[in-house]
Amino acid sequence: MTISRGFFGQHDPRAVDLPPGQHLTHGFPVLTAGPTQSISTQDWGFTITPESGEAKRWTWSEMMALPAEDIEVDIHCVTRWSKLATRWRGVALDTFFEDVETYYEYAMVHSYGGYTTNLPLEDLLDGKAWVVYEYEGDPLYIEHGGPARLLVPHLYFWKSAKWVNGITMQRFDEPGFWEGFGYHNYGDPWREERHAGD
Amino acid sequence: MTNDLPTQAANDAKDDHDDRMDARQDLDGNAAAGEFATVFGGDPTTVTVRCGSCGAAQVFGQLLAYLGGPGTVLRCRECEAMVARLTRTPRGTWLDLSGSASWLFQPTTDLA
Amino acid sequence: MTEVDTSASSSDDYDAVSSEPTPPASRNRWRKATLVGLHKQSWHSRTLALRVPDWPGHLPGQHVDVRLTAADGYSAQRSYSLAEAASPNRVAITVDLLPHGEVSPYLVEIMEIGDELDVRGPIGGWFVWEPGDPAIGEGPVLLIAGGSGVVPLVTMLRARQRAGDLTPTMLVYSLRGPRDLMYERELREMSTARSASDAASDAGSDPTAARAAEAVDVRLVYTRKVPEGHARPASHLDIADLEAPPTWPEALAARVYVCGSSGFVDHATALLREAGYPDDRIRTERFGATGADR
Repeated sequence: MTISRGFFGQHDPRAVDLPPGQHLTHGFPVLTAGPTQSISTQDWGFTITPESGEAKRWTWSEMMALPAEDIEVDIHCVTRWSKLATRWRGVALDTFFEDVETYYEYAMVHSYGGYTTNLPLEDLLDGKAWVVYEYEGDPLYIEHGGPARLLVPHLYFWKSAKWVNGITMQRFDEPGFWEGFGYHNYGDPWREERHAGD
Repeated sequence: MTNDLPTQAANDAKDDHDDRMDARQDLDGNAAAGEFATVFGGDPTTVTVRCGSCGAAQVFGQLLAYLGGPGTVLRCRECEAMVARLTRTPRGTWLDLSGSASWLFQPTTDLA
Repeated sequence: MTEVDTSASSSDDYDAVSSEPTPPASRNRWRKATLVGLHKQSWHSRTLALRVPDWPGHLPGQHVDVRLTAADGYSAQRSYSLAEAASPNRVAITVDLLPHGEVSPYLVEIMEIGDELDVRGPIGGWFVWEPGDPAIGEGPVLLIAGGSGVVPLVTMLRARQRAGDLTPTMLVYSLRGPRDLMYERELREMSTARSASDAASDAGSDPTAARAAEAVDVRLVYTRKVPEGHARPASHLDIADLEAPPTWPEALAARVYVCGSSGFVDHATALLREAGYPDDRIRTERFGATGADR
C-alpha cells in the first residue's frame, strides 16, 4: 500500500481516546444499504411486537407525547470513523418497553426499506438506547435516518438503524442485515468486534 | 404536539431543479464494478441480471449501487429489492446473490 | 463517474484482496501511481496525469479505482473516469471538487507532482465506446453530459479523433455557468471545423469536407448563467437540445451515452424516451458522493 503524502481523509489526526482502529472525524458521513426512505411524520409509526403477537404501535404524535431526553454521546462506525459528543433528542427504549410484556431476550430491529439489525434486549434498556428525532437541535435529516432512527451508541453504528419502524421480540437470536454477512453479531467497538470471528 | 416536522425532503422541494437533480447521489453498478470484478474474474458491467423479486432484467451497470458502508449493495432499478451484496472481511470476500434470479454472462464481456 | 465512494474502511481489509493471485490479477491488483502532470480544467476541477508502470491500457469510458492511504493507515477509495485515451504507463483522471468530500479536496487542492497513490483498473465494459462496435455501425452517436459527467465523454471524443473515426457525433453538455466549463479549448477545436465548413459538407472529397466529417457537434446547455453571445437562454436540458443536427442521416442516434448525477441521468433518460429512443440504445453512468457529509 502506498502512503499518499498530505492525505488525512476528513479525520482529525490528533490523538484522542478512541476505540481501537477508529479515526476521529468532524463530518458526519452518510452511509446506506439502500434508497433514502422518505416517510412523513403523519405516516410514521413505531411498533413493538412481543411473543403474544399483540403489537403495540406508536404514531408520531404519540411518541412526541412521551418524555423526551437530550443525549450527548460518542458514535463509532465500523468503517472506522468516530464522532465525539454528538447531541440528540429522543425517547428512551425503556419508555416504550414500559407498555410491553415480554420474556424474550432478543430483539430484531426493523426499518422502512427493509433493513434489519439484531441485538439483545438488555442492550436496548437501562438508558442505553433511544429512538431519536433531533440531531444538534434540528429535526433529523432523512439522510441520517429522519424522521426517526434508533440510537445505540455503545455498539457500532450499523446497529443504530435509520428510518426505524419497529422491534420484533424473539426467543432466539437471529442475524440482521450485516450480522448475517460477515459482520460481528454484537459489535462492541471497544473490543473491536467488527467482523464475524473477531 | 408537533405532528409534521419538516424533513430534508420537504426542504429539497423548495430548491430549484438543478439542486434537486444534484441532490440525488445514488450510484449505479458501474461504480461497483471494481469490487465485483475481483470475484467474477472479469468485467461485470455487461452481465444481464434478473431480479428475484420482480423479474425485471437489467445490465449490471444499471443496477442501483450503495457503497461506502460495511459492504457494497446492489438493488433492482425497478423495484429496489436487493439483488446482490459483497463485503470483504479478514476471513475473506462474502458474496450474496440470493436476491437475483439469474446472471447472463455474454460471450464477450472481457474488454481491453 | 467522477467522485464515487467505494469504501472508507481500513486498508488492511483490502490488502487481502490485492494479494489474491486469482486471474486476471493484472487488472484487479493495486498499482502504485505517481503524479506527473496537473492541468486546471475549471474553477473547481483539475486533471491529474499519473505514471503507472505496466498499466494494461483501457477503452474510452472505462474508469479506475483510486486509493489514498494516510500515514496512520486510514484509507479511502473512489472511482474516477479515465480522462485520456490509452497511452503506455499513463493514466489521467479529471476530478471535480466536492466541498464536503474526503478524497476530492486532496486530489484537487493538495496533491503535488511526485506524490503517490494506488490505482486499480481499468474497470467497466458497458459504458464504453469502442470504434467499430457493430451495434453502433456507422452511428450516429449522441453524448449527453451533466457537469463533470463530461469527462468520459471527452475521452470518447479524443479516441474518435485519434482513430480518424467519422461516426457523426454530437455532445450535449449541460452545465451551470461559464466558469464550470471543462475542456473549453479542446471542445472548441473539436467543433469549429464543423461550423467553418458546413457549407462544403457535401463537396465530396474536398479536404474541408473531410475535416467537417471529423468535427463534432457541441451543444452547451447552460442551466443558470449564460455567457454573452450564447443564443440559448439558461434552462435545464430540454427535448429540443437532443434533436439531431441537420447533417445527421437519421433523426435518432444508434447509441446514446449519458453521464451525470443520478437526477440528471433520470431526467435525460426520460427526455430520450419521449424523443422515441428505445432503451437498448441508451447507456448511462451515474456519479455521486456516497459517504459524503450532509
